[in-house]
Amino acid sequence: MFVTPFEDASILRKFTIFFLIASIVPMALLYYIYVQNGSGQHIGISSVNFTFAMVLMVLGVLVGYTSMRTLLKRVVNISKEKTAALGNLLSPETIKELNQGENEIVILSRSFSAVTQQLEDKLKKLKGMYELQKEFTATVSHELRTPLASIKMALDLIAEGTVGEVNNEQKDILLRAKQETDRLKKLIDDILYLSKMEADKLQMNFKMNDIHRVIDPIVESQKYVAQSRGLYLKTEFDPKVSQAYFDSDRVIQVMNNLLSNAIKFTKDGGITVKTRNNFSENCILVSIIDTGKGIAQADINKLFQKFQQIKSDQKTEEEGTGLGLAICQEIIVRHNGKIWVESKAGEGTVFNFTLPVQEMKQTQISSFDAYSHE
Amino acid sequence: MGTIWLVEDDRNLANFTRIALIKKGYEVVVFHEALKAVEETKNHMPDLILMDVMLPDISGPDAVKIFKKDPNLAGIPVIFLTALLSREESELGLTIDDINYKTLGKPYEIKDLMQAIENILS
Repeated sequence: MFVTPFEDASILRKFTIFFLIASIVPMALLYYIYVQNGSGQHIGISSVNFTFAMVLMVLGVLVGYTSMRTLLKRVVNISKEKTAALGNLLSPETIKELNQGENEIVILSRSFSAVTQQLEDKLKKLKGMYELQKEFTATVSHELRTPLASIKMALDLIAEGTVGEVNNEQKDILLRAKQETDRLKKLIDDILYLSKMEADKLQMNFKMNDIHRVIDPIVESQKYVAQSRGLYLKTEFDPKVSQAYFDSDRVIQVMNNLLSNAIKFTKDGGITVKTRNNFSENCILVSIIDTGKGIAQADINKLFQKFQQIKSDQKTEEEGTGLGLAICQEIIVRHNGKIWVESKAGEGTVFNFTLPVQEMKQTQISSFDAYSHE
Repeated sequence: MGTIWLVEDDRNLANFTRIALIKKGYEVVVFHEALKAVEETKNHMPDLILMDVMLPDISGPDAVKIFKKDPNLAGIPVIFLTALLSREESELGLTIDDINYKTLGKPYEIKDLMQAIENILS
């Protein structure tokens, strides 16, 4: 928090009173003397007044000068403190150089221009880093996906018998290799997606949407997967909940991820998707409740970290990339929402996330937006 | 079936894609640089161009801009192949000078590539 010297009200008050006494009172007296003289009145008493006024004026100048010095010193000291607090923006040599010199105003103006220069340099550096990051993402993207495309294409050509007949055993091996390339592709996509989100490069399409209308089709499509495993998948939508401010594509991504995780880690019972209003926090709450084996406290803490995976009991399960929940968290955070998990081993798991019911200000979404868009 | 020009700088990917296209009955000419393809339009015209985005000389989109400036070449259909976008991201297609182009993200499936070509050439 920035503190101005004027927050110390007593100094300001004292200064104002002295100013009144030292300047306005003598001025008024002098004016009175002038009027008396002009009208040809006796000036005996006026000479006393005049002397008194002169003494007050000299006193006023002295007090005014002292007050100004005190104020300026305070300003300079605060400026120095704040400069230091900005985190070593200025080198000790620069500070020493700044403090040498003519008077406080010069020191102050030098200090401000030095800090401004430093901030400009930092911003330039930051923009440079942003450009580098952009280039890095493009290079990684190109250098990883291109050879993967060759491998996948080669496996496809052989597996489909395009370049000669393959027996069933060979085909099976090739298909497994192809599955691995798909996993690798998903991993590259997830890493790049997360990197884009973290660098604020991913454009978000926020608008008012009906949450039930967005969630319902995902639940319906995942119902078949759940049912094929003997699980139920139901909704308990609060009819009072409707509009929220979110990017529907991203929320679909979050829901798909949380639902497929819930199905993956539930053996018996099923999954319930609940919605409700949270008026005190001006948001809606979506909960995905499963009757699975639950998550141990030690694992809960690692859940949203990258590349942390809880192993599924089902061996045939397609392995995840360990980035799904990290991506969900990034998406919800970009909505100014919260995502958290409640679970105990053996008692099922509840994943909750919130979405705002009102339009967010752009500054709330990201401080980098000013130069994040291409 | 038609002649397809494949502009792709990755030798392996170009070769594998060429094999897949030939097996489907297309005539294929491979270019590893965009300007060579631009130059070749003085002698021949393809029915379709499969264009990579990041190329060593000029980018795929820049090559397409050159085609669009020439009335004789402006009508050649183009499908972009790119490693810069994921398969899902590329579904929207690349837009150059207000024209949206079918785009396939690498690694693409052979069947998706064939489907995209058939949609244009049939």
